[in-house]
Amino acid sequence: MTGTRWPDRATAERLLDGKDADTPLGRVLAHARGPAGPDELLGEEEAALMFRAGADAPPPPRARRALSRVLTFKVAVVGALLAGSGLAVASATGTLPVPVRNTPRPAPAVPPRPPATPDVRDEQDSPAGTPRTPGAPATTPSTGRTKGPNEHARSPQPHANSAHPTPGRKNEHTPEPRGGNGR
Amino acid sequence: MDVMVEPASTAGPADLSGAVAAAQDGDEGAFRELFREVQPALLRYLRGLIGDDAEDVASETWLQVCRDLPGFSGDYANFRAWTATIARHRAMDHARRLRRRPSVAVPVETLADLASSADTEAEAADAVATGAAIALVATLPPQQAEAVLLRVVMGLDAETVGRILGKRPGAVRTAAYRGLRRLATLMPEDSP
Repeated sequence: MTGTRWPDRATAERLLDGKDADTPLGRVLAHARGPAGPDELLGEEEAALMFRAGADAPPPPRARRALSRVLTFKVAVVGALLAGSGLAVASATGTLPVPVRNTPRPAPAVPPRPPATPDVRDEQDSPAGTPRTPGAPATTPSTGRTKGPNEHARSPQPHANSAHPTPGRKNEHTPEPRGGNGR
Repeated sequence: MDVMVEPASTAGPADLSGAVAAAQDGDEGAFRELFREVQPALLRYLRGLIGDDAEDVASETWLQVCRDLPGFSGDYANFRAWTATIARHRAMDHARRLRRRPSVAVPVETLADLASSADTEAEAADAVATGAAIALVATLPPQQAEAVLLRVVMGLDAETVGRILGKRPGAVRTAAYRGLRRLATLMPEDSP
């Protein structure tokens, strides 16, 4: 902060806290955090319904429900086919079939791996003094997880990798704020 | 609904940590108390992010809050930050579905009234003025708008906003201050 430009920190914080009602901007911000209007609480009954429904299953999205129905149907069909073939085998040989696993095992597919990319966490505010060399030997202890040039990135078990490609990292999970203090 | 609307505008958010704990134990009254305190701010934040679809996204947000509340741990400040985080994710999902950046109408004509000093107390309760103020903030570049909204409307501090946005507190302050500077230039009078 230069200190010469408006607003200085104290002024800005007062504005952001809604404690400055003596300026045009302060009044606008005071409006922005004004008390609840009549339309803003209309969803209360709906929310209370959700609350009562609580932890037990909220209605899943339509798409997911449809998908699960399709999957159920498929399982039923496959089950019927397997039972049918089992019966056919039994009638042909006169024996009860030992549990047959007649689905061929898929050949282990090795997904193509993208070339190792530098860690995305550093995309912002990387300190100016630290050059980033993607293929550098693993001597820097800063990331904790260093990789050699030929090592598979982020594979926890490099020797058993083929059948289970590294799962995509989803950020969908909502982070839980920890130890924050709102004000 | 005879809700006692508290003039929380200057005093800052009341501490409803007890209500958070009670709601987690299944107390619907406590949950309603939380809803009444948080929903207006949440709606304004979302309106600044995605405009007219704010109600829908707020509803999705509460659905997730209700579902995940038993696993939540924290006080009222944490609860507000958590709710804002969920709302933000739902809003981004929503924007992705729409594949466009929603626009918020700019109420230029109301600007002079907004910033005027005439009878601020009475006007503070004016929903139109509040909506206009939010729409004005929403005209800022997205990062500045979000920093200002989370600070001003959700009442969160720079550290908490930083965690929500995945930024350092200093970056949040810079964005918010830049937003203020830009807003000040939009004011009818010259002096900020």
